[in-house]
Amino acid sequence: MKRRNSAGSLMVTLLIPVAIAINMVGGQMTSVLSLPIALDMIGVLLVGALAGTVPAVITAVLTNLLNGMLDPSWIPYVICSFFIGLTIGLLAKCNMMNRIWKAAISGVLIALVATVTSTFVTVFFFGGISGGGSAMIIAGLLATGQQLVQSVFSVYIVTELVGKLISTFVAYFIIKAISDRTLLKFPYGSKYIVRKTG
Amino acid sequence: MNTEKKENPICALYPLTKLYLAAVLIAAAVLFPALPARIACFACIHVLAWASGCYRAVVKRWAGTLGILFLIILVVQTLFYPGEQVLFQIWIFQAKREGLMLALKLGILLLDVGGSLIWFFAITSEKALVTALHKAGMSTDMTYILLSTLQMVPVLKQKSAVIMNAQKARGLETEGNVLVRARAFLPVLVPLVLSSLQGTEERALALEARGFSVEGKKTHLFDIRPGKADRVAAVLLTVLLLCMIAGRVELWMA
Repeated sequence: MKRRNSAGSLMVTLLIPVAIAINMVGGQMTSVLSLPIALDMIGVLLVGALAGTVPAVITAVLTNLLNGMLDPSWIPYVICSFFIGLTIGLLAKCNMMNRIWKAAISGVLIALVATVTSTFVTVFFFGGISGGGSAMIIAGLLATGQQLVQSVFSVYIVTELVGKLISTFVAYFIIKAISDRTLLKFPYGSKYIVRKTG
Repeated sequence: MNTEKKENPICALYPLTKLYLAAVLIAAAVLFPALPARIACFACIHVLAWASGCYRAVVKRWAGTLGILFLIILVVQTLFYPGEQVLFQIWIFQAKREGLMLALKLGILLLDVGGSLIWFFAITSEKALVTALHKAGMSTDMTYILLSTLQMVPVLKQKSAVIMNAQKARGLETEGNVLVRARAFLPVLVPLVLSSLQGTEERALALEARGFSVEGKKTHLFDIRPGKADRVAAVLLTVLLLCMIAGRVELWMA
Protein backbone atom coordinates (compact mmCIF):
# COMPACT_ATOMS: atom_id res chain seq x y z
CA MET A 1 0.00 0.00 0.00
CA LYS A 2 2.79 2.40 0.82
CA ARG A 3 4.51 1.67 -2.50
CA ARG A 4 1.32 2.41 -4.39
CA ASN A 5 1.50 6.01 -3.22
CA SER A 6 5.13 6.60 -4.05
CA ALA A 7 5.84 8.83 -7.02
CA GLY A 8 7.97 6.14 -8.68
CA SER A 9 5.05 3.76 -8.98
CA LEU A 10 2.77 6.42 -10.45
CA MET A 11 5.42 7.28 -13.02
CA VAL A 12 5.54 3.60 -14.01
CA THR A 13 1.75 3.48 -14.33
CA LEU A 14 1.96 6.49 -16.61
CA LEU A 15 4.90 5.06 -18.56
CA ILE A 16 2.98 1.93 -19.62
CA PRO A 17 0.41 3.67 -21.90
CA VAL A 18 3.21 5.67 -23.53
CA ALA A 19 5.19 2.49 -24.11
CA ILE A 20 2.22 0.65 -25.64
CA ALA A 21 1.63 3.60 -27.95
CA ILE A 22 5.35 3.57 -28.87
CA ASN A 23 5.07 -0.13 -29.72
CA MET A 24 2.20 0.61 -32.05
CA VAL A 25 3.80 3.69 -33.58
CA GLY A 26 7.05 1.76 -34.05
CA GLY A 27 5.12 -0.92 -35.90
CA GLN A 28 3.41 1.72 -38.00
CA MET A 29 6.70 3.52 -38.75
CA THR A 30 8.30 0.37 -40.10
CA SER A 31 5.45 0.17 -42.59
CA VAL A 32 5.65 3.93 -43.44
CA LEU A 33 9.38 3.58 -44.10
CA SER A 34 8.64 0.14 -45.62
CA LEU A 35 11.36 -1.59 -43.63
CA PRO A 36 11.28 -5.37 -43.92
CA ILE A 37 11.59 -6.01 -40.16
CA ALA A 38 9.21 -5.88 -37.21
CA LEU A 39 10.12 -3.21 -34.65
CA ASP A 40 6.94 -3.41 -32.60
CA MET A 41 8.45 -4.26 -29.20
CA ILE A 42 10.58 -1.17 -28.54
CA GLY A 43 8.18 0.15 -25.90
CA VAL A 44 8.31 -3.15 -24.03
CA LEU A 45 12.11 -3.13 -24.06
CA LEU A 46 12.10 0.46 -22.75
CA VAL A 47 9.70 -0.31 -19.91
CA GLY A 48 11.58 -3.48 -19.04
CA ALA A 49 14.88 -1.64 -18.91
CA LEU A 50 13.51 1.29 -16.89
CA ALA A 51 10.93 -0.31 -14.62
CA GLY A 52 11.47 -4.07 -14.48
CA THR A 53 9.56 -7.27 -15.09
CA VAL A 54 5.96 -6.66 -14.02
CA PRO A 55 5.42 -3.39 -15.96
CA ALA A 56 7.17 -4.92 -18.99
CA VAL A 57 4.86 -7.93 -18.96
CA ILE A 58 1.78 -5.69 -18.57
CA THR A 59 2.97 -3.52 -21.49
CA ALA A 60 3.70 -6.49 -23.72
CA VAL A 61 0.46 -8.33 -23.02
CA LEU A 62 -1.71 -5.22 -23.38
CA THR A 63 -0.02 -4.31 -26.67
CA ASN A 64 -1.10 -7.63 -28.13
CA LEU A 65 -4.59 -7.49 -26.65
CA LEU A 66 -5.23 -3.95 -27.89
CA ASN A 67 -3.89 -4.77 -31.35
CA GLY A 68 -6.10 -7.84 -31.15
CA MET A 69 -9.18 -5.65 -30.88
CA LEU A 70 -8.71 -4.79 -34.55
CA ASP A 71 -6.93 -7.92 -35.73
CA PRO A 72 -7.64 -10.96 -33.50
CA SER A 73 -4.75 -12.94 -35.01
CA TRP A 74 -2.52 -10.91 -32.63
CA ILE A 75 -4.14 -12.47 -29.57
CA PRO A 76 -2.43 -15.91 -29.48
CA TYR A 77 0.93 -14.12 -29.64
CA VAL A 78 0.19 -12.81 -26.13
CA ILE A 79 2.21 -15.85 -25.01
CA CYS A 80 5.29 -14.54 -26.86
CA SER A 81 4.95 -11.03 -25.53
CA PHE A 82 4.55 -12.36 -22.01
CA PHE A 83 7.88 -14.16 -22.21
CA ILE A 84 9.61 -11.27 -23.99
CA GLY A 85 8.45 -8.91 -21.22
CA LEU A 86 9.66 -11.35 -18.58
CA THR A 87 13.06 -11.74 -20.27
CA ILE A 88 13.79 -8.03 -20.70
CA GLY A 89 12.71 -7.34 -17.12
CA LEU A 90 15.06 -9.97 -15.72
CA LEU A 91 17.91 -8.88 -18.01
CA ALA A 92 17.52 -5.27 -16.87
CA LYS A 93 17.50 -6.40 -13.26
CA CYS A 94 20.88 -8.07 -13.89
CA ASN A 95 22.27 -4.82 -15.37
CA MET A 96 22.28 -6.26 -18.87
CA MET A 97 21.12 -3.10 -20.65
CA ASN A 98 23.60 -0.45 -19.50
CA ARG A 99 26.51 -1.17 -21.91
CA ILE A 100 26.24 -1.64 -25.63
CA TRP A 101 27.85 -5.11 -25.64
CA LYS A 102 25.52 -6.19 -22.84
CA ALA A 103 22.58 -4.86 -24.84
CA ALA A 104 23.76 -6.98 -27.79
CA ILE A 105 23.76 -10.12 -25.61
CA SER A 106 20.32 -9.17 -24.27
CA GLY A 107 19.06 -8.70 -27.82
CA VAL A 108 20.22 -12.19 -28.80
CA LEU A 109 18.62 -13.75 -25.70
CA ILE A 110 15.34 -11.92 -26.32
CA ALA A 111 15.41 -13.03 -29.96
CA LEU A 112 15.87 -16.66 -28.87
CA VAL A 113 12.94 -16.44 -26.45
CA ALA A 114 10.84 -14.77 -29.14
CA THR A 115 11.74 -17.41 -31.72
CA VAL A 116 10.87 -20.37 -29.52
CA THR A 117 7.58 -18.91 -28.30
CA SER A 118 6.42 -17.59 -31.65
CA THR A 119 7.29 -20.88 -33.38
CA PHE A 120 5.16 -22.63 -30.77
CA VAL A 121 2.23 -20.20 -31.25
CA THR A 122 2.38 -20.27 -35.04
CA VAL A 123 2.51 -24.06 -35.20
CA PHE A 124 -0.01 -24.69 -32.42
CA PHE A 125 -2.64 -22.04 -33.24
CA PHE A 126 -2.20 -21.44 -36.96
CA GLY A 127 -0.85 -24.78 -38.20
CA GLY A 128 2.46 -23.16 -39.14
CA ILE A 129 1.21 -20.41 -41.41
CA SER A 130 0.32 -16.95 -40.19
CA GLY A 131 0.19 -13.77 -42.22
CA GLY A 132 3.04 -11.67 -43.51
CA GLY A 133 5.95 -12.18 -45.85
CA SER A 134 7.47 -14.97 -43.72
CA ALA A 135 4.52 -17.23 -44.64
CA MET A 136 5.78 -17.39 -48.21
CA ILE A 137 9.32 -18.39 -47.17
CA ILE A 138 7.91 -21.01 -44.78
CA ALA A 139 5.77 -22.36 -47.63
CA GLY A 140 8.86 -22.48 -49.84
CA LEU A 141 10.79 -24.47 -47.22
CA LEU A 142 7.84 -26.84 -46.80
CA ALA A 143 7.84 -27.37 -50.56
CA THR A 144 11.47 -28.50 -50.46
CA GLY A 145 10.41 -31.23 -48.04
CA GLN A 146 11.41 -29.67 -44.70
CA GLN A 147 9.49 -30.53 -41.54
CA LEU A 148 6.88 -27.96 -40.45
CA VAL A 149 8.38 -27.01 -37.08
CA GLN A 150 11.90 -26.77 -38.52
CA SER A 151 10.77 -24.55 -41.39
CA VAL A 152 8.89 -22.17 -39.10
CA PHE A 153 11.77 -22.11 -36.62
CA SER A 154 14.47 -21.45 -39.21
CA VAL A 155 12.54 -18.54 -40.73
CA TYR A 156 11.68 -17.01 -37.36
CA ILE A 157 15.20 -17.26 -35.96
CA VAL A 158 16.46 -15.03 -38.79
CA THR A 159 13.64 -12.47 -38.65
CA GLU A 160 13.63 -12.35 -34.83
CA LEU A 161 17.41 -12.04 -34.51
CA VAL A 162 17.48 -9.05 -36.87
CA GLY A 163 14.30 -7.45 -35.48
CA LYS A 164 15.01 -7.91 -31.77
CA LEU A 165 18.69 -6.96 -32.00
CA ILE A 166 17.80 -3.70 -33.77
CA SER A 167 14.95 -3.07 -31.30
CA THR A 168 17.28 -3.60 -28.35
CA PHE A 169 19.84 -1.20 -29.80
CA VAL A 170 17.12 1.38 -30.46
CA ALA A 171 15.93 1.03 -26.85
CA TYR A 172 19.53 1.35 -25.65
CA PHE A 173 20.10 4.55 -27.62
CA ILE A 174 16.80 6.01 -26.45
CA ILE A 175 17.75 5.35 -22.82
CA LYS A 176 21.13 7.03 -23.47
CA ALA A 177 19.23 10.08 -24.75
CA ILE A 178 16.92 10.37 -21.72
CA SER A 179 18.07 13.01 -19.28
CA ASP A 180 19.35 11.94 -15.85
CA ARG A 181 16.63 13.78 -13.97
CA THR A 182 13.94 11.84 -15.88
CA LEU A 183 15.80 8.54 -15.52
CA LEU A 184 15.86 8.93 -11.73
CA LYS A 185 12.07 8.88 -11.60
CA PHE A 186 12.00 5.22 -12.68
CA PRO A 187 12.90 2.22 -10.48
CA TYR A 188 15.89 1.07 -12.58
CA GLY A 189 16.80 4.52 -13.88
CA SER A 190 19.91 4.90 -11.72
CA LYS A 191 21.48 1.92 -13.52
CA TYR A 192 21.88 4.05 -16.65
CA ILE A 193 23.38 7.16 -15.11
CA VAL A 194 27.08 7.43 -15.81
CA ARG A 195 29.07 9.03 -13.01
CA LYS A 196 30.88 12.06 -14.31
CA THR A 197 34.44 12.44 -13.08
CA GLY A 198 36.33 15.71 -12.84
CA MET B 1 -23.92 7.32 -33.99
CA ASN B 2 -24.25 6.78 -30.26
CA THR B 3 -27.99 7.38 -30.01
CA GLU B 4 -28.53 5.04 -32.94
CA LYS B 5 -26.60 2.30 -31.14
CA LYS B 6 -28.63 2.74 -27.96
CA GLU B 7 -31.83 1.82 -29.79
CA ASN B 8 -30.51 -1.56 -30.85
CA PRO B 9 -31.34 -4.10 -28.08
CA ILE B 10 -28.14 -6.11 -28.61
CA CYS B 11 -25.84 -3.08 -28.58
CA ALA B 12 -27.59 -1.76 -25.47
CA LEU B 13 -26.64 -4.84 -23.42
CA TYR B 14 -24.11 -4.52 -20.60
CA PRO B 15 -20.54 -4.92 -21.97
CA LEU B 16 -19.82 -8.01 -19.87
CA THR B 17 -23.02 -9.69 -21.15
CA LYS B 18 -21.84 -9.11 -24.70
CA LEU B 19 -18.41 -10.45 -23.79
CA TYR B 20 -20.09 -13.55 -22.34
CA LEU B 21 -22.01 -14.00 -25.59
CA ALA B 22 -18.77 -13.77 -27.59
CA ALA B 23 -17.13 -16.27 -25.22
CA VAL B 24 -20.02 -18.74 -25.66
CA LEU B 25 -19.63 -18.47 -29.45
CA ILE B 26 -15.90 -19.16 -29.15
CA ALA B 27 -16.61 -22.11 -26.86
CA ALA B 28 -19.06 -23.48 -29.43
CA ALA B 29 -16.45 -23.28 -32.19
CA VAL B 30 -13.77 -24.94 -30.05
CA LEU B 31 -16.00 -27.65 -28.54
CA PHE B 32 -17.42 -28.95 -31.82
CA PRO B 33 -14.56 -29.49 -34.27
CA ALA B 34 -16.69 -30.91 -37.11
CA LEU B 35 -16.66 -28.72 -40.21
CA PRO B 36 -20.47 -28.22 -40.49
CA ALA B 37 -20.66 -27.15 -36.83
CA ARG B 38 -17.93 -24.59 -37.35
CA ILE B 39 -19.60 -23.22 -40.48
CA ALA B 40 -22.88 -22.99 -38.53
CA CYS B 41 -21.09 -21.06 -35.81
CA PHE B 42 -19.68 -18.72 -38.46
CA ALA B 43 -23.20 -18.18 -39.79
CA CYS B 44 -24.37 -17.35 -36.25
CA ILE B 45 -21.77 -14.59 -36.02
CA HIS B 46 -22.99 -13.15 -39.31
CA VAL B 47 -26.58 -13.16 -38.07
CA LEU B 48 -25.51 -11.52 -34.80
CA ALA B 49 -23.53 -8.85 -36.62
CA TRP B 50 -26.48 -8.16 -38.87
CA ALA B 51 -28.92 -8.07 -35.94
CA SER B 52 -26.77 -5.60 -34.03
CA GLY B 53 -26.69 -3.28 -37.02
CA CYS B 54 -22.97 -3.21 -37.66
CA TYR B 55 -22.76 -5.84 -40.39
CA ARG B 56 -20.78 -3.76 -42.86
CA ALA B 57 -18.22 -2.59 -40.31
CA VAL B 58 -17.66 -6.12 -38.98
CA VAL B 59 -17.30 -7.70 -42.41
CA LYS B 60 -14.97 -4.94 -43.59
CA ARG B 61 -12.67 -5.30 -40.59
CA TRP B 62 -12.88 -9.07 -40.81
CA ALA B 63 -11.95 -9.18 -44.51
CA GLY B 64 -8.91 -6.96 -44.03
CA THR B 65 -7.38 -9.10 -41.29
CA LEU B 66 -8.66 -12.66 -40.85
CA GLY B 67 -9.98 -13.00 -44.39
CA ILE B 68 -6.48 -12.56 -45.81
CA LEU B 69 -5.00 -14.92 -43.22
CA PHE B 70 -7.68 -17.49 -44.10
CA LEU B 71 -6.78 -17.32 -47.80
CA ILE B 72 -3.05 -17.68 -47.08
CA ILE B 73 -3.66 -20.69 -44.83
CA LEU B 74 -5.99 -22.22 -47.41
CA VAL B 75 -3.53 -21.91 -50.29
CA VAL B 76 -0.39 -22.90 -48.40
CA GLN B 77 -1.83 -25.86 -46.47
CA THR B 78 -3.66 -27.24 -49.52
CA LEU B 79 -0.54 -27.16 -51.63
CA PHE B 80 2.11 -28.12 -49.12
CA TYR B 81 0.51 -30.36 -46.49
CA PRO B 82 1.74 -33.93 -46.97
CA GLY B 83 -1.15 -36.08 -48.21
CA GLU B 84 -2.11 -38.88 -50.55
CA GLN B 85 -5.33 -37.85 -52.28
CA VAL B 86 -4.47 -35.39 -55.04
CA LEU B 87 -7.38 -33.15 -56.02
CA PHE B 88 -5.78 -31.27 -58.91
CA GLN B 89 -2.38 -30.12 -60.05
CA ILE B 90 -1.09 -26.69 -61.01
CA TRP B 91 2.37 -26.73 -62.59
CA ILE B 92 4.51 -28.59 -59.99
CA PHE B 93 2.12 -28.02 -57.10
CA GLN B 94 -0.36 -30.69 -56.08
CA ALA B 95 -3.50 -29.72 -54.19
CA LYS B 96 -4.21 -32.41 -51.62
CA ARG B 97 -7.48 -33.29 -49.95
CA GLU B 98 -5.94 -33.73 -46.49
CA GLY B 99 -4.39 -30.28 -46.67
CA LEU B 100 -7.61 -28.70 -47.86
CA MET B 101 -9.64 -30.26 -45.03
CA LEU B 102 -7.06 -29.23 -42.43
CA ALA B 103 -6.96 -25.69 -43.81
CA LEU B 104 -10.75 -25.39 -43.83
CA LYS B 105 -11.13 -26.69 -40.28
CA LEU B 106 -8.36 -24.50 -38.88
CA GLY B 107 -9.23 -21.48 -41.00
CA ILE B 108 -12.91 -21.50 -40.11
CA LEU B 109 -12.06 -21.94 -36.43
CA LEU B 110 -9.89 -18.82 -36.68
CA LEU B 111 -12.72 -17.00 -38.46
CA ASP B 112 -15.15 -18.06 -35.69
CA VAL B 113 -12.95 -17.06 -32.77
CA GLY B 114 -11.69 -13.88 -34.41
CA GLY B 115 -15.07 -12.99 -35.84
CA SER B 116 -16.80 -13.07 -32.47
CA LEU B 117 -14.08 -10.88 -30.98
CA ILE B 118 -14.31 -8.40 -33.88
CA TRP B 119 -18.07 -8.31 -33.43
CA PHE B 120 -17.70 -7.72 -29.68
CA PHE B 121 -15.29 -4.82 -30.07
CA ALA B 122 -17.31 -3.34 -32.92
CA ILE B 123 -20.45 -2.93 -30.81
CA THR B 124 -18.84 -2.13 -27.44
CA SER B 125 -17.44 1.30 -26.70
CA GLU B 126 -14.07 1.18 -24.96
CA LYS B 127 -15.30 3.53 -22.26
CA ALA B 128 -18.24 1.27 -21.40
CA LEU B 129 -16.06 -1.84 -21.39
CA VAL B 130 -13.45 -0.31 -19.10
CA THR B 131 -16.12 1.02 -16.75
CA ALA B 132 -17.69 -2.44 -16.56
CA LEU B 133 -14.30 -4.02 -15.90
CA HIS B 134 -13.61 -1.50 -13.15
CA LYS B 135 -16.94 -2.32 -11.51
CA ALA B 136 -16.08 -6.01 -11.77
CA GLY B 137 -13.06 -5.36 -9.59
CA MET B 138 -10.21 -4.24 -11.85
CA SER B 139 -7.81 -1.85 -10.13
CA THR B 140 -7.86 1.88 -10.85
CA ASP B 141 -4.29 1.76 -12.16
CA MET B 142 -5.17 -0.89 -14.70
CA THR B 143 -8.30 0.89 -15.93
CA TYR B 144 -6.34 4.11 -16.21
CA ILE B 145 -3.65 2.33 -18.25
CA LEU B 146 -6.26 0.86 -20.61
CA LEU B 147 -8.18 4.06 -21.25
CA SER B 148 -5.11 6.24 -21.42
CA THR B 149 -3.48 3.91 -23.98
CA LEU B 150 -6.54 4.02 -26.20
CA GLN B 151 -6.38 7.81 -26.17
CA MET B 152 -2.62 7.97 -26.52
CA VAL B 153 -2.21 5.82 -29.64
CA PRO B 154 -3.82 8.23 -32.12
CA VAL B 155 -2.09 11.21 -30.45
CA LEU B 156 1.34 9.61 -30.74
CA LYS B 157 0.70 8.51 -34.32
CA GLN B 158 -0.10 12.09 -35.22
CA LYS B 159 2.94 13.33 -33.32
CA SER B 160 5.23 10.90 -35.14
CA ALA B 161 3.93 12.20 -38.48
CA VAL B 162 4.67 15.77 -37.34
CA ILE B 163 8.18 14.83 -36.22
CA MET B 164 8.82 12.99 -39.47
CA ASN B 165 7.80 16.07 -41.47
CA ALA B 166 9.95 18.30 -39.27
CA GLN B 167 12.98 16.05 -39.76
CA LYS B 168 12.33 15.89 -43.51
CA ALA B 169 12.36 19.69 -43.55
CA ARG B 170 15.81 19.52 -41.94
CA GLY B 171 16.99 17.24 -44.72
CA LEU B 172 16.35 13.75 -43.34
CA GLU B 173 16.10 11.14 -46.11
CA THR B 174 13.03 8.94 -45.78
CA GLU B 175 13.15 7.50 -49.26
CA GLY B 176 15.83 5.42 -50.92
CA ASN B 177 17.30 2.02 -50.23
CA VAL B 178 16.67 0.02 -47.06
CA LEU B 179 19.69 1.41 -45.21
CA VAL B 180 18.72 5.03 -45.90
CA ARG B 181 15.16 4.39 -44.74
CA ALA B 182 16.35 2.51 -41.66
CA ARG B 183 18.57 5.44 -40.73
CA ALA B 184 15.47 7.65 -40.61
CA PHE B 185 14.00 5.52 -37.82
CA LEU B 186 15.96 6.84 -34.84
CA PRO B 187 15.68 10.59 -35.61
CA VAL B 188 11.90 10.19 -35.58
CA LEU B 189 11.53 7.79 -32.67
CA VAL B 190 13.92 9.42 -30.19
CA PRO B 191 12.21 12.86 -30.12
CA LEU B 192 8.85 11.09 -29.93
CA VAL B 193 9.84 9.05 -26.89
CA LEU B 194 11.59 11.91 -25.12
CA SER B 195 8.70 14.33 -25.53
CA SER B 196 6.23 11.65 -24.43
CA LEU B 197 8.29 10.97 -21.30
CA GLN B 198 8.28 14.67 -20.52
CA GLY B 199 4.51 14.62 -20.93
CA THR B 200 4.37 11.71 -18.48
CA GLU B 201 5.88 13.84 -15.77
CA GLU B 202 3.36 16.60 -16.31
CA ARG B 203 0.51 14.10 -16.30
CA ALA B 204 1.75 12.64 -13.02
CA LEU B 205 1.51 16.08 -11.42
CA ALA B 206 -1.94 16.69 -12.91
CA LEU B 207 -3.25 13.33 -11.70
CA GLU B 208 -1.82 13.75 -8.21
CA ALA B 209 -3.40 17.20 -7.98
CA ARG B 210 -6.76 15.50 -8.67
CA GLY B 211 -6.23 12.84 -6.02
CA PHE B 212 -5.47 9.84 -8.27
CA SER B 213 -3.52 8.02 -5.56
CA VAL B 214 -5.91 8.89 -2.73
CA GLU B 215 -7.26 5.84 -0.95
CA GLY B 216 -10.98 5.41 -0.59
CA LYS B 217 -14.12 5.04 -2.64
CA LYS B 218 -14.30 6.88 -5.94
CA THR B 219 -17.34 8.03 -7.87
CA HIS B 220 -17.89 7.76 -11.61
CA LEU B 221 -18.79 10.56 -13.98
CA PHE B 222 -19.81 7.97 -16.59
CA ASP B 223 -21.89 5.12 -15.22
CA ILE B 224 -23.62 2.06 -16.64
CA ARG B 225 -25.40 -0.84 -14.95
CA PRO B 226 -26.74 -4.19 -16.08
CA GLY B 227 -30.49 -4.18 -16.73
CA LYS B 228 -33.24 -6.79 -16.83
CA ALA B 229 -32.35 -7.91 -20.35
CA ASP B 230 -28.82 -8.67 -19.14
CA ARG B 231 -30.01 -11.00 -16.38
CA VAL B 232 -32.25 -12.87 -18.85
CA ALA B 233 -29.44 -13.08 -21.40
CA ALA B 234 -26.96 -14.32 -18.80
CA VAL B 235 -29.31 -17.14 -17.71
CA LEU B 236 -30.04 -18.14 -21.33
CA LEU B 237 -26.33 -18.12 -22.25
CA THR B 238 -25.42 -20.22 -19.21
CA VAL B 239 -28.11 -22.78 -20.11
CA LEU B 240 -26.82 -22.84 -23.70
CA LEU B 241 -23.23 -23.27 -22.54
CA LEU B 242 -24.17 -26.14 -20.20
CA CYS B 243 -26.13 -27.82 -23.03
CA MET B 244 -23.11 -27.53 -25.29
CA ILE B 245 -20.78 -29.04 -22.69
CA ALA B 246 -23.29 -31.86 -22.06
CA GLY B 247 -23.55 -32.50 -25.80
CA ARG B 248 -19.79 -32.55 -26.13
CA VAL B 249 -19.43 -35.02 -23.24
CA GLU B 250 -22.07 -37.26 -24.80
CA LEU B 251 -20.32 -37.20 -28.18
CA TRP B 252 -17.10 -38.01 -26.43
CA MET B 253 -18.59 -40.91 -24.45
CA ALA B 254 -20.31 -42.43 -27.50
